[in-house]
This record gives sequence, C-alpha cells and structure tokens, in this order.
Amino acid sequence: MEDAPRGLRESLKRVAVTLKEADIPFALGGSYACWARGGPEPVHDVDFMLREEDVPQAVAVLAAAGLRPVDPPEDWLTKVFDGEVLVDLIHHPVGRAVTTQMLERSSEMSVDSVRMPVLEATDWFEMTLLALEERYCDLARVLPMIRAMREQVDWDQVRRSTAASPFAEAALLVATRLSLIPPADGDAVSGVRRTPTGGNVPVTGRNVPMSPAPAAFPSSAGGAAGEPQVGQRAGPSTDVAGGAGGAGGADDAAGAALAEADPSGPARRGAAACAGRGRVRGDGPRASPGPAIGTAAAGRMPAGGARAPGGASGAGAGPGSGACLDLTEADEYLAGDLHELLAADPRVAELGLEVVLREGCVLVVGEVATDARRQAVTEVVAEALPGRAVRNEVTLIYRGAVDADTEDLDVETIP
Amino acid sequence: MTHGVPAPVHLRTPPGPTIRVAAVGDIHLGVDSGGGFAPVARGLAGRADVLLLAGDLTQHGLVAEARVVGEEVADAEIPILAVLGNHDYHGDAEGEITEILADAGVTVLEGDGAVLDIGGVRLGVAGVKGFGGGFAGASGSDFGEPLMKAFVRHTKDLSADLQFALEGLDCDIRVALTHYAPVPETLIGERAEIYPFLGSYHLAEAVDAGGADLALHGHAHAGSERGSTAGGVPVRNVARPVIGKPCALYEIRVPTTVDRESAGSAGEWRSAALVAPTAT
Repeated sequence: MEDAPRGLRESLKRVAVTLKEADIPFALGGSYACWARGGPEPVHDVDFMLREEDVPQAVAVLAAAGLRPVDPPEDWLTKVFDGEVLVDLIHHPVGRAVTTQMLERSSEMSVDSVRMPVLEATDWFEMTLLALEERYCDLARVLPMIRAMREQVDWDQVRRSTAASPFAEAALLVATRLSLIPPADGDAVSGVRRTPTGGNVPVTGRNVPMSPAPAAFPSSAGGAAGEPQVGQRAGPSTDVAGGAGGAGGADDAAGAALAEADPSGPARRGAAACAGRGRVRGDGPRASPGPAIGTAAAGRMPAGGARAPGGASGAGAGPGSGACLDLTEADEYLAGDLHELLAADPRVAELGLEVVLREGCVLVVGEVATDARRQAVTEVVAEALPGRAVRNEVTLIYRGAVDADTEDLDVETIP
Repeated sequence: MTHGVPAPVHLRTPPGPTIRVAAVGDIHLGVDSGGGFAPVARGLAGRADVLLLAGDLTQHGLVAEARVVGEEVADAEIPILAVLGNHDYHGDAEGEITEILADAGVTVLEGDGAVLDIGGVRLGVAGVKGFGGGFAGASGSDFGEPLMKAFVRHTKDLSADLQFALEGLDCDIRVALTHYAPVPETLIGERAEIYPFLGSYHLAEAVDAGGADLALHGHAHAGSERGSTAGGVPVRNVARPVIGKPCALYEIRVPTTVDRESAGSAGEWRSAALVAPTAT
C-alpha cells in the first residue's frame, strides 16, 4: 500500500504532463479525481477521461514518452502501462461519451504539485452512481466519497441525470437519509419553474451545457422555427444554447428533403394514429393540437415545416406529429410512446434510446450518429410533451476516424 | 466489379483455398451521413474478397437515404452483397431501395443467392431479411389470432426461402446472410424479453439444413458477436455497434474436397466476379 500509491501518483503525473504538453484535452477522472477533491487515496488505478477522437493521438504521445499501450477488448476505454502501473484512458464512461463540454467543466487543480484539469464533482458522481449495477453496488465504497465531496456537487443535477438507475437512486436515498446531502427540492421537478407561456425553463446553474432544452422548447416565441441549425454539425463541441437565431440553414434543407422524399409516410401515419386514438387533449393554453392534426391529416404540411417546432400553429406539426400523445397518461406509458416516437420521427429515427419520465421530467439517454439527430431528440420530445422539462443526455457515436481506418482490422479464421 | 491491383504489402492471404469475407450490418445511414461509410467500402480493396451488408443500411427506410448508401458504396472495388433490414422497410419503399442499391452495384438478396468466383473458389451467399419469433422454449407459434399466425408464418416463409436459396447454391463455401438472428447466443447483452423480436430458431434450422459454413446477421445492437447453431455452424452478429469496428473480417477455408490447384497460386491477388445470381 505504501509504495503503490506513490508509483500510481508518479504515473498519473507523467501521463498528465505528457497530455498537457501535447495539448490534448483531458481530465483526471476515476478515484484519483475523488482523491484530488478530498476523497480517500486509491491504491489500484489511474483514470483519465478523453474524447474518443483524441484517444489515438493520446496513445501515440504516451507511447512516444515511453509508456506501453495495450488494446483491451472493452470498447469504452483503452489502456497504457507505465512500468507496472496501469493507466486507463476512458472515452465512454458508463456508456456515455466524454464530451468537450464535460472537459470544459472540469477544474484546474493541483494534484500532488502538478496542475491538471480534474473532472467536475457533479460529473464525477453521475458516472460513479451510474456505474453501480447488480453485481457492483457496494455503497460502503460510495458513501465515503459522498462525504468527502458533497459540498462540491449539484445533487439535484445528479438526481436528474441518474434518474434511470435504481442503484443510483438507492445511493442517493441513503445519503439523503444520513443527512450527507440535502433532500431534493420540494418541487418534484427541482430547479425547473413554469414560465407564463407554459414552457419550463431550467434554472439550475449547470444545465445549459448538457441540454439544449431552453432553445428547443416550442412554447414561447413563435419565431423559434428554424432555430440554431447552422453550424451545429461541427460536432459535440458546439454550444447549442448559444446559437439562437438564424432561420433556415442546411438542416432545414435536410428536413425539407425528408418531407419531400416521403410526403405520405410518417406524417400520414402519425395523423392516422392520432385519429385512431382520438385522445388528444387540449389541456390549457399551451396545447392547441387541432390545427396540427388538421394540417397533417389534410396532407398540407409544408415541406419546410418539417423542422419547425410549433411556432404560430401551436403544438408541433412535425413529421412525427408528436402532438398526439395523451398528456394525461401515466408516465410509464408516455415513456413507451416517446420511445416509439423517437424511432418514427425521421429527424431522430433511433430505436435504441431510453426514455424515462420521472416527476414531470423527461430524460433521454443513449447514442445517435449525428449532432443534428441529438438535438432533434429535444425537439421531438418537446413537441410531443409541451411543457415538460427535457433532459437530453444523448451522446454522439464517434465513428469518423474509426470508420475510415480499415488498416488494423483483425481477421477471424472460420474453421 | 473486380479488384484493382492492391499493394503487395496488404497481401496476407496464406497459400491454399481461402476467401476473406468482410461483413457489417446496421450502418444506419441517414441523409446526413454522407461520407461516413465510403472510406470503409473503398478501403477493403486488397483486404477482403467481398463485402456483405447485414441489413439496416438506412436509418428510416427512405429513398433519399438509400441514395446515400448507393453513393457511399459506389467506389468499392470488391463485390457487395446485402440484405435489407427492418429499418429499410420502415418507409414502405423496400422495392425502390433495392433498385437504388442494385443500380449502385449492390446485389440485394431476399430469398435468393449469388455465387462469386474468387480466384477459382466459388463463394455462395444466400440471403433473407428474416424476422422474429423467438427461440426454443420461448417462441411464438403459428396458432391463434390471424395476426399471430401471420407473424410466425412470415418467419417460417422467409426461413424456407433461405434454406431453398442455400440449397440452390453450387459453390465451395456457403454463407447465410440475414438481418435477424438465427440463434440466441449472439443476442446475449440484449434484454431476454425482446429476443422474440430479434430473431427466430427457424432461421437456424434453415442455416443447418442448407449446409451453410457461416451465418452472418445484424439487428441486435447490444448483442454478442459469436455463437453457433445447433448443427455447429458458426454464427456471427456483425451489427456495427457489436463489432465495434468498421467491419468484421472472416477468413473461410474451403472444405477439403476442393481441388487446391483450382484456387490460384499463393500470394497472387485474385479477381472476384459475380458468376450467376441463382434465381429461386
């Protein structure tokens, strides 16, 4: 125990300095991030968080610095050895991509006399709690970390982003009952307040980088149509919330192309589904589904309207005709309907997204191939359930550089 | 389509009659996916003899998406054979999608097969989309309501098509290509509750009865790569998220009855040509 940590720390500093000198964005993660923030010192491993696209370069510079890369079977990290010390380079902790925003949120701290970015405490707990599962749910390890870092964490944010995990919920309950952390805000949808127009605007300090929700709500300004599409394909680093304005753009063209390519497809089916179910409710001033349905059913939906999240016509008349969800249904059923809607709507068209409704919030997790699809998740959910806060935790599958490289494919011999 | 002449450094083919199959499923190209797959299709020249696509080539079954797929594979130098997946049917445009892919040089299989001559080795590929239904002990039956019967009969019909197509192949190596899974082993990682939507044992029956040497499928993104049928045929789930790389490569040795002399000399790159699609 005595020597191991010292060896680990030396390796930690060597890797951090090498990555810093190569200008590769990273953050110290894992149990050493916890240690840096006051937790117990680990004795096993050193973890760094990187974006997937930066991993090859990181491995290259570390190899050049004398470390020995190994290629593990896991697809969410890679490893390098510094002598006997194993250093993990993690790009998909708990199935979610390390993003530019996440690295930007990390704080520069002195770790054993070397300054380096350390994963933000709230992000750290999201990952740690989401890693709990049926075979690994030892709260005896987690609770000391909560004690050590509790005042550095936005616990409501952790509650929201881990809402899908019963193990995280259990850990947070125990920590709350032990008075280690404050209870959730009295309001079920903590940190979210109603606006006069019916939309919900998250007001906690930290949700902007993770969620494009405010800009994508269809509720307030009708002029939100054609909102920030231009330039959003730059990748995960684009700041979504900052790009308001700019009607039209490349993605509108794409939306129009979709609508033209399949004028009678999803929209017609969506309308049929609405008519068949006949359960559209106009509850309150924010929902005016009538025009939306009429438009879709009559097949007069303008092609360019495919991307317009509502606007003057009220609830969204997008390709998925999201307005036809029955807002009074139990959350469990709404989650199922949304799951289907996200697959059926051409803007997202992803069957594999997980939707959780909890206390008025809609949490969507999973991976999609493009940033436009990721942002469309929020649009589609907001159109379908106007007035609900949307936590879009969907991340991007990074494939470009990997796909382009067929050099190193191994071959299996079939007997 | 034939090979270009690749740089010798890429040649790792051992002497003797083997062929190398590249395979991937569930590439899910959308209208915004242009440029993503083309390097893969191009880069396989010299590394594989044929590329097999195991369905879900498009995201939403739209004609516009199929055009993107066609553009992405247009520069491939090796033959490409494909089956469609459930996503490719979603827009009710599977016929047009098939035509677009065919125009781009892709042989789309649905209840039929094709034989490629690869340097003297005849590779036969039979393909169907396949369908769900489940696996032994937890499967749907051709019983009850019309919809239930229609569901199971669709699986049975496609499985029969697959067997017939496999049996109709006059070749040295037989590969069964489906979108849905023939065995549950390659679904491990998916929730067991949804296995009946991911594949059917009827497909495995066809793979075994049709004498396939290898069965490839996609569809189950959270599944596992390797399994085998009750008859011992290797099964590989080549869904893009499962294999975690641009495509999987399999080297298949010709069963011993094949005359080695006919397989071309060692180290010489071979041309692959479509001999005959076997209509069934």
